[in-house]
Amino acid sequence: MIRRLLLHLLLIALAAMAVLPFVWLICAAFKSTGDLLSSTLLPWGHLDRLTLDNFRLLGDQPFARWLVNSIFLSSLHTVLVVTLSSLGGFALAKYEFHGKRPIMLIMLGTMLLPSQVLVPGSYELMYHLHWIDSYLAIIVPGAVSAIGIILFRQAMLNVPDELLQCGRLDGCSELRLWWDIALPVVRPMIGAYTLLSFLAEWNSFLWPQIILQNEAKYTLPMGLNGLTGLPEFQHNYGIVMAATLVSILPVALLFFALQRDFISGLASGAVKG
Amino acid sequence: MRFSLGKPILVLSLAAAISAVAVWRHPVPPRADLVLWTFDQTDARTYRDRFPDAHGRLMPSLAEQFQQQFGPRVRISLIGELGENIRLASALMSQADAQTPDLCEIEIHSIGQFLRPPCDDVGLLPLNDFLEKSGWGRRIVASRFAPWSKTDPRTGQRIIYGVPADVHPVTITYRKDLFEEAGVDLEAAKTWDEFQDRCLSFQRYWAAHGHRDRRAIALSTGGPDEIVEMLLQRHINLIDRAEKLHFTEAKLLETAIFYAQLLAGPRAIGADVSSGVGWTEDLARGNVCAVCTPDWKAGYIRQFSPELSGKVRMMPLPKFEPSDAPTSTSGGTMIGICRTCPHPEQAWKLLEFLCLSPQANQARIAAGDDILPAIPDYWNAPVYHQRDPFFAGPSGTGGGQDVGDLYIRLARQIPERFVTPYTFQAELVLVAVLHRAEEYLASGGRTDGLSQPCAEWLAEAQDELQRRIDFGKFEP
Amino acid sequence: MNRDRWWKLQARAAPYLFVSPFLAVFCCFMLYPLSRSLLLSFHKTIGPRHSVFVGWSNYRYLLGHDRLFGLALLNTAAYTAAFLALQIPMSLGLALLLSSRRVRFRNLFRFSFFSSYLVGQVFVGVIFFQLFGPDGLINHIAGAVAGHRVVIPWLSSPNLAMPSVLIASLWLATGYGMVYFLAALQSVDPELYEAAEMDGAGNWQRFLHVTLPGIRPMLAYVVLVGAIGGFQLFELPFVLLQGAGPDARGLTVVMYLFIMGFNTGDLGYASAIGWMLVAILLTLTFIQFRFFRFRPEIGT
Repeated sequence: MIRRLLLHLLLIALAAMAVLPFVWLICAAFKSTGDLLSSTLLPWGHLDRLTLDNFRLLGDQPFARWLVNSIFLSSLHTVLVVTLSSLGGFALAKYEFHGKRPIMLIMLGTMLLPSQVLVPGSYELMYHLHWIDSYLAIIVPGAVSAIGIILFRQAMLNVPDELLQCGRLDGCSELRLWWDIALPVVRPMIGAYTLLSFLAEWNSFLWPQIILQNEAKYTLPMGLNGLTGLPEFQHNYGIVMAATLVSILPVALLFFALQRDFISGLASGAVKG
Repeated sequence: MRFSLGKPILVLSLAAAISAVAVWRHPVPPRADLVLWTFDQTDARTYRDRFPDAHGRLMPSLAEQFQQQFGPRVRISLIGELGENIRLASALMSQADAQTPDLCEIEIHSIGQFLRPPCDDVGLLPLNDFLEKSGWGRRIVASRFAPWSKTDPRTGQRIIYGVPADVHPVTITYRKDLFEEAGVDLEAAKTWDEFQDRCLSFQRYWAAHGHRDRRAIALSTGGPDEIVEMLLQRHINLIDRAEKLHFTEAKLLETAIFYAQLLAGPRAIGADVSSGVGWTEDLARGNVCAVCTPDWKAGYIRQFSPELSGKVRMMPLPKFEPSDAPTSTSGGTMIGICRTCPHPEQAWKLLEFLCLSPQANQARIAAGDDILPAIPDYWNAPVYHQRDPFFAGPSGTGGGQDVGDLYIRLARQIPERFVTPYTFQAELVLVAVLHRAEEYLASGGRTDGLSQPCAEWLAEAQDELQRRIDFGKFEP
Repeated sequence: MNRDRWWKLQARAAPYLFVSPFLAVFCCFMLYPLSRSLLLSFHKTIGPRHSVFVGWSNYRYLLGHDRLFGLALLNTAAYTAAFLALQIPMSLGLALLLSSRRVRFRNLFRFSFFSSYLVGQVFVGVIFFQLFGPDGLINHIAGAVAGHRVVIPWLSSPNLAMPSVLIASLWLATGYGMVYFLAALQSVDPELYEAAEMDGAGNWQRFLHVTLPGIRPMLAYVVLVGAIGGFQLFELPFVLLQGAGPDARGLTVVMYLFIMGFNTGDLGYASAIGWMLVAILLTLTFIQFRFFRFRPEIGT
């Protein structure tokens, strides 16, 4: 009983620490410029001074457009990358084939090089492909991820070989094996990676900023960033906080709604026997 | 058949499909003849928004007016600063001519890399002819061309690549109420030594009255802003227009030591403050009681610490010696034309219209931008000559100060600032030396004992930097 | 072609087909920029149209004369080591705590620990910039504890700059690691736990002998990704410290790369820095494989 209580107290303390900056962010978004700095969390004595002004100033912007763009890019990206990565990871985990070693080394290598080094070359490539200012430049190169493939490889190492053999004896095609046997085993990992890769694309910044020229194509973080003139965020401080909050909201809602699927996904029972 | 990829993927596929419909119908922007890239939201507003004229009627935006008057359609593109720089650099590097804008705004900290290539290869168009023929060359504050120009080593001619948008004179804003209470007349200090003495008295008073930690002035230990401002006053650039280093100059050594002992040791009067706009809070609480304020900074006090109304006052910078400038400069933006622009004449007309014309000036004022433009002819606009009640008058608090007049008086004496590709690193290295000097003083060292070690450190820094610059050079 | 041969064909072709998207994208979109940057690293660039081949000169300068690079490397290595040493136990610990059957309100806790990651790299910098200020929330809390005004110079003291970055990135990344570990813990066969319990194993022993081996592939993955992320750190310190930080103690390798490439404009040298980083990381990985025998099962 005591242990249970202690456990919960510990969790509450940790959760409070984890959430504190977030709470601060929420408070900051509603504070007027006069109060922004003078009060730490909220102007306790003067709660009536809380204002929606920061959000109102944001409202002049083509939000809906940016939101839809972000949803499109992030959703499409996630679906593609999860599907293709799980396929690739499956191959690397459960098959032996020529070129497997070199491929894994290449993957590792691509993860090591900082992306900033590749920017000029990639830009030039996109220029010659006439993909500047096109979503293709963001979606197609982003459709595969070495990190994703390696992740699924690690996860799929757990898929019991006997099950796969059974499937083959039953005449299943390899693709069927992937779909019916391997994926359900790694269901928790699919959920986790879906969430994280959605987030990564949602918050992704540098490359879209370089590629997209037409303001109607901007993603949400990009549009908001352009607004606040980061890193000159100094003088639009309250608006930055409001902008941050707004750009987090859709993802937070998605997470909250699908939390169980994202993180706890139950193994479908294929593990037993 | 189960959907093995899981419900989230299903949901996202649906989301992608639905949003694809909306995305497909992207409004294609009308074809523009001239494109301008900017990172500054206020500038973008100035160009794009409609403002009421003197009679309150809504005028078309500057971009629209240009189109009505001259023909070409204009598109103003707002993008974050980092993104704009990388995009521009990548486009120039890939020789992606079609992707470069016609006009672009560049900030002073980023201009170095664009001026790095040899003069004929700089990605911006030389503007000397345009400035000459249109007469604007004479109407703009001459020293403001310095950061945006490069000297051709073969002909010795100074080639100008950008039109300055501002002057940014620097003053000191201080807490008149607190200084008065301490019985210190800060404005009477004409030299930095006097300034320091008075600040020390100020601190002694407050130490005796319950504020032992109160410091007189905000100075950064980790950043180069204030030391560079002081050096500029003395007409010293770390790297000058001929790419010569000045670390070992006697005046620089003197200033560096002076700066270090402003921050550390028994005669310290300076302290770090929160960056961003947090310093307004420090000023309001009296953690520091004076701040170096270029014109773009002064407005933040009003915005973020309105309770200081009537309690602050502005004074010009004290000098080290009479030949120093009474002010300095910090920050700045330019507008330039890309060399790849297919219609430079048109682009110049747009530049003129958006940034130099009287309509532009009006629009900027209407947008709430109270920065002094680089054109003295416009300094007689009433907005720069209003008595500002936020700042205290000469006697007592309240009463208002002619802040605009002060800035204008100083703006004519802006020192020249040069920015090279290695300026960032030079500043980094200088700050490291200052830091060592501050540590020396903080651990009990005496100021006069600092000269020799500091000179050595500066010489080391110069050597290292010179090696870098030499390494990066080559004759194409 | 009868069914049997078709089946055999697709069974053999399957792995190649499955990795072909990666290879296709790699060849089309990564090969060119990669080779371009590698080539660039052997040149000195002084503008889009002027570059001269200099052989190993950039690398030689980098290793022999570049004090700032050495400093950046030191900062980055120290940061990464500290990050890994803290993040792995923290995320794993949290995941374990949350998987315990005794926990109520699991969803809420999970959400709060994960919420930090929602914010994203750049905005984390913005938020903590305010939190770490001389009058920020953190100092306020410290002051409340100490009883008087406390001004810890988080962002302006050379010794505290990198730790501040570390705290901010731990806040961001712990939720991230926790998600992966939660998923990994799910796939440990519960029967193994029961068997261990029947053998009389206590909590700690079950952890050591059932949990750890069970999540070993994921552990290796999180370490790998954490190490790579640590060495590639750039945006967070850049925003938090407004550049390289006090005394350049916040300078990381990729930040230095960025400064050389997009502030000074020498893209050749910047590429050399990038490839040097790859070389260093590959060497480290190699050493780890050989001497510590801790293979993240990448090479098998």
